[in-house]
Amino acid sequence: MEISEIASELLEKKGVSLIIGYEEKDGIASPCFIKDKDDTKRLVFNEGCFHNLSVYLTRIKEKCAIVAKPCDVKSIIGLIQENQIKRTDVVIIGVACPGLNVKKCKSCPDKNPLIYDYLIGEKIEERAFEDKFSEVIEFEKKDPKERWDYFKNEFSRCIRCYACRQVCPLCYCETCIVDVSIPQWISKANSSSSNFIFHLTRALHLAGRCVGCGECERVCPMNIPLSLLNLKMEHEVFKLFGYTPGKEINAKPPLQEFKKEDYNEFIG
Amino acid sequence: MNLSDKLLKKEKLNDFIEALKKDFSVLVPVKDGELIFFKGLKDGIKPCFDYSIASSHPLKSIFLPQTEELFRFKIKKNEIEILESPINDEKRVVIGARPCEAKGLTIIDKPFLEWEPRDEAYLKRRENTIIISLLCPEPEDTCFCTSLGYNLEDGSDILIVELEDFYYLKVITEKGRDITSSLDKPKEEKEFSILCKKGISLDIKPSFDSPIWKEISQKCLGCGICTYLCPTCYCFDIQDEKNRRFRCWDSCSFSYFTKMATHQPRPEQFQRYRNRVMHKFSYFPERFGEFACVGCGRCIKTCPVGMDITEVIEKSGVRGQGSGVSG
Repeated sequence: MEISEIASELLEKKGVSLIIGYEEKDGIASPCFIKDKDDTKRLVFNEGCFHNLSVYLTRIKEKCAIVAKPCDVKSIIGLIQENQIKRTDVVIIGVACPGLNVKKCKSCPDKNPLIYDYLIGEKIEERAFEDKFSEVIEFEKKDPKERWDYFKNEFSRCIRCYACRQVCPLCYCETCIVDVSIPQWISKANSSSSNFIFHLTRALHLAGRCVGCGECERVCPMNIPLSLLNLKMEHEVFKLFGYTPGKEINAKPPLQEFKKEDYNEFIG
Repeated sequence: MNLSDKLLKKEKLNDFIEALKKDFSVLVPVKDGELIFFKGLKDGIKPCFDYSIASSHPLKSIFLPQTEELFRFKIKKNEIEILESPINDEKRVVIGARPCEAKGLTIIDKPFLEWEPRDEAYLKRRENTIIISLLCPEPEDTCFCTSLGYNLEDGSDILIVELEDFYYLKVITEKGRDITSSLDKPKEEKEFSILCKKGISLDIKPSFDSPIWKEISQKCLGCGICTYLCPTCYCFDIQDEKNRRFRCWDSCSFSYFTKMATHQPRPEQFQRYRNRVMHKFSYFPERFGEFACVGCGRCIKTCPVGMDITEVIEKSGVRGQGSGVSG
């Protein structure tokens, strides 16, 4: 079935009141919110649908259906794991995705959504992905000063527009540490040190949670390589806990639970 | 004012810039990865004059820096000593700005210089800077400057048009005349224009009460890209840290913008987005007689979710009322 047909059926017969999907205007795809059956023909899925729509799930707070690529589904799994949404409150119109016309898709191994209620397109054969962390391992070969200087230079361009945070489905905190002024944890002055603290704080908050959808880097108007930082954290969590975020609804994220056998050498 | 246009042979551009460097600090667009930043021209720095407006850091930042220290203070037993921060008063020439960005500065000038108190630091930087802009070879697909009806020479001291063997310099101000006195005049003066495909109608005025705001801004994520990259957005916050007071860019898109001790007058994102559009196309024209938008299209190109301000104006506006701005 086409997305529009599924959407019509959901709105008409299945008690769904809102569909979060994509529409296209002047050749540019962007998120849209459909409430009326007559508007479902606006729904499309094409090469330009790279946005991760699951960011809207924690903002909308109503039962809805969502068009989701494999990477977006991983964010949805993360949100369910963290009790931000209920599986029963969201109908997933999963889309098999060969990779879209955008940089973030070049290194994405996921072709089929892990969970879904409807599937658009034929399942795509997944290829064994070489080493997912090769970019991180390569970067780690540089000496600490080189790595520090690299990120210092990258963060120096940051304009603190917080698009990385706003576009992130897992950055759902009602109040972000960087917005608090009493006490002022992170300076509002744009400097490479305060920018550094903001990005490192965000990376740590997302450790073991970021599913690597790549939206933060895609939207960054200053082209800061945020995915490298997030991938590094994912690698660390994988090495320490053998855990990959966004895979299993019933799995407990490592930073949310304690196991006796957890790595604890730092306690001494 | 006797201002005549000038011609500069392409191979003489470097000499012209070198001569300027004797009296001025010269700022040029410089490529950093895929982005463009205005930087001081020093040895080893190569200017990039052929660039996309959408991928350039806003020119406003050299007049209204993202973070600017205002003063330092010392708290003593019964008094506070204020130490004014020095204002950078170096003489500068910017070469290679886009005309829309130069126009943007004339818009920021209004609240900063026409309203009391005048912003002395901003004034000094404006007075001490000569702007040589470069006419775009072609408008980009998100550009809509020509529909806004302003003169493309506004805000520039010189507007350069690239011809085959020459640069044609439209000399617009006395500041521009003074640095081009050694150049030849053209045989006859020419006019140039460009035409954007995109546009908004000057006949539309966005309506605060339009029921459409909620719908059109539902996808807005509330980041600060559109405001921070905008050539005319000038809102700032004032902060004290340790022993200094500084101002830094702020954005009406952010949820804490206008948050007060008692309440937040714009608690929902659609109200914040509406404010941005109303400010540009209604509140600002009511006070200053022109739009606070120059049609650079940067907000359209860089929006993470494809918000298009021209479409928003079309949908939220009331036709026939006029915007109070004529072309």
